Amino acid sequence: MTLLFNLSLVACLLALIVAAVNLFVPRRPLAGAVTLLLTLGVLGLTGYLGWRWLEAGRPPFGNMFESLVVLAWAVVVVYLALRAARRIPVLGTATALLATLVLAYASAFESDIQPLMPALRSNWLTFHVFTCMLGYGAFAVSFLAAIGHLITARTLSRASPEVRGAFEIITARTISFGFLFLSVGIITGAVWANSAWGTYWSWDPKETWSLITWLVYAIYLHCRFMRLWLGRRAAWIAIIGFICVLITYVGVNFLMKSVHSYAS
Amino acid sequence: MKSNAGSRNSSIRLFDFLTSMKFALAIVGLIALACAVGTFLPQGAEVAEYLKKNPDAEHCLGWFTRVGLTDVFFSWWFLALLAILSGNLLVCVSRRLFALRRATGLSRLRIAGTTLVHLSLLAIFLGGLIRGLFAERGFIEFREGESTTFFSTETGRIQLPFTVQLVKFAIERYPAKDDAAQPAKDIYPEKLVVSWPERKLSSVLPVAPGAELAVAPKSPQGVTGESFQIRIVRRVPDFMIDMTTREVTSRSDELRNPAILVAVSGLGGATERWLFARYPDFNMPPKGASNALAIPFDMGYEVTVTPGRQAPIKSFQSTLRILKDQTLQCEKTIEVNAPLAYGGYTFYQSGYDEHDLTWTSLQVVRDPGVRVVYLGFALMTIGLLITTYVRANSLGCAQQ
Ligand code: HEM
Repeated sequence: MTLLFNLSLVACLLALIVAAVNLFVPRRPLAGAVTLLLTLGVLGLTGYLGWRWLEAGRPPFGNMFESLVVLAWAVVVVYLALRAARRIPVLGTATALLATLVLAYASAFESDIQPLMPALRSNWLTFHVFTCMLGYGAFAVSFLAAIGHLITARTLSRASPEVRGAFEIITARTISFGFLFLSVGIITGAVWANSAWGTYWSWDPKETWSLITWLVYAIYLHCRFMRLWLGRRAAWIAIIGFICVLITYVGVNFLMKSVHSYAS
Repeated sequence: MKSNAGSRNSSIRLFDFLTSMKFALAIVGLIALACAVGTFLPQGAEVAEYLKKNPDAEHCLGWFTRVGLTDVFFSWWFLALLAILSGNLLVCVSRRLFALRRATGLSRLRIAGTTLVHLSLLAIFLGGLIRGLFAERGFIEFREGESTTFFSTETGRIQLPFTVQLVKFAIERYPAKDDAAQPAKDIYPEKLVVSWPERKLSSVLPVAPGAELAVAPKSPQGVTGESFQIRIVRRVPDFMIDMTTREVTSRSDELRNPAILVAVSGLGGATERWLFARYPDFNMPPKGASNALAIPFDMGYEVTVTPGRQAPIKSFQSTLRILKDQTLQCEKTIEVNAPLAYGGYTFYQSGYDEHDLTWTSLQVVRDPGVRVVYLGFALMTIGLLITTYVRANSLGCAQQ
């Protein structure tokens, strides 16, 4: 069944190559092929996760390998779900690149199905990991769109204002969506911690960084939707937000001691 | 008059500024920054540990400590930031509620959603405040059959309004691996190692009471010298000695402090010693032993572990009973992720002792703020569902 994982990785890689070629062809005839390949990749990953679920008799959200697979899945799903995003070829290339990298990084981790330690045996874990990863996936796409926005916002850029506007809207939409999921992810994590350790919040570095991430995106939402800061400044907040996501998700494991270190 | 109006005007302006969204966002940004600092600098109990490793940091850390940077999340200025944010939110929420009455349709929904989100933050802060002021936290350690009416905290003990009894403790494991080469359980081979390097003596005797070994070490010249008789007289898995009678007993059947009594006899006489697996450099003569013989070689008692194919632990469970005035109030089997809540106290399965499976430790928490925080979580989820829905719609409009 690792075959299914490898096939999904190949599908993402092919999508990346086709999408990259597509960028240099007039009128982008290969756009449909990119979408098809990414869809195949997502279906493959869905099947692979489903198989792991059946095989282990529990949801496949137990270690770093599994959470990375869910992350790659979420990134592609969020991209495919946004029609506006699929209209921008560069975004397809970037998404395929990101998914390929995440899956390749996942291959570096132990992929055996392991039994869960007592603290991880909880339904809250399922909600917690799934909502967090869906949020991170949305933030990843928002990050790509925010970079696209910053590049096309330069006066020398040849991109049309419509493309820049589309980038901006995609950023805002994915953050709006991601914020909901990150919030629910933090809440389910807190409820889970309270049922396992008797405290819903303990200022553990990973918890704290998820809070910082959440605050940065709250600032983005206020600026963007209350029309305080629009355009490039908002895009910069989106980028800072994603840096915080990276610190929360991988940085903390390397830099600090954390109760979440089951992930390493 | 005029200056009075002016000062009132400016105080209104000051109030408007302090309750504005811009000011609020600045505070939110500061809180985020403080949190980041708190994860990079050693906090609270970590400070002493950090200083042990980096003694040079003493001067610098002392300065940080004075301004609360080594205990960011409980420092007065961090709490002040949260208080300012709460005040700000309170005013914002009230203002929004007035706007809600005038609004219609989608905008009404939007305001309701954001009001819920901001109210939820206030609820969570309030719950945290209640926790800080009133929460009690501690632990209970006991064996099967024991009961207690109090729990221990870092500073003392707290009386419970009822009795908690541990009826049973059990560990559940995952199914074992199918590997016939490995023994089913961990085994602990024990041996007595006798060595005298200068005389090329090294012998091993598997430990069992009554086991005997005769050794005849060669002298450096290669001539067989005096011979010795070594015998294992007694073995106790968990050595304990009564200091007055010097009577040796075993505290339990677990290999916690394994010891053997070894008798050695030779031409020069006989002697006996207690040897300990955990303390190889220490040995002890038993009660009334003759010390006629000086033992010229080394003896070491070694216990190693051969891990079995026992699978990892799936869960550990304590069956608890709550009693009041000798009558049973409730009984529940708790495990990690499934605590017992009774009378405002919650009992969490927290630890066990691998060597003594009749013993367990529980965490005890009384936090009246949890309900308020959970209310906040519910409000926030509903509020965010609404605002996300509304935003998705209005963005769709903006696009066309
Ligand atoms: C960590 C703190 C905060 C979080 C997570 C938060 C969250 C949110 C969210 C999700 C929205 C919805 C945005 C939208 O409608 O698109 C919002 C709107 C808003 N927030 Fe906050 N907020 C926070 C703090 C504050 C504070 C302290 C104020 C006080 C001035 C404030 C004032 C507002 C206002 C005026 C709106 C617009 C309301 C509306 O559109 O009906 N927020 N906030």
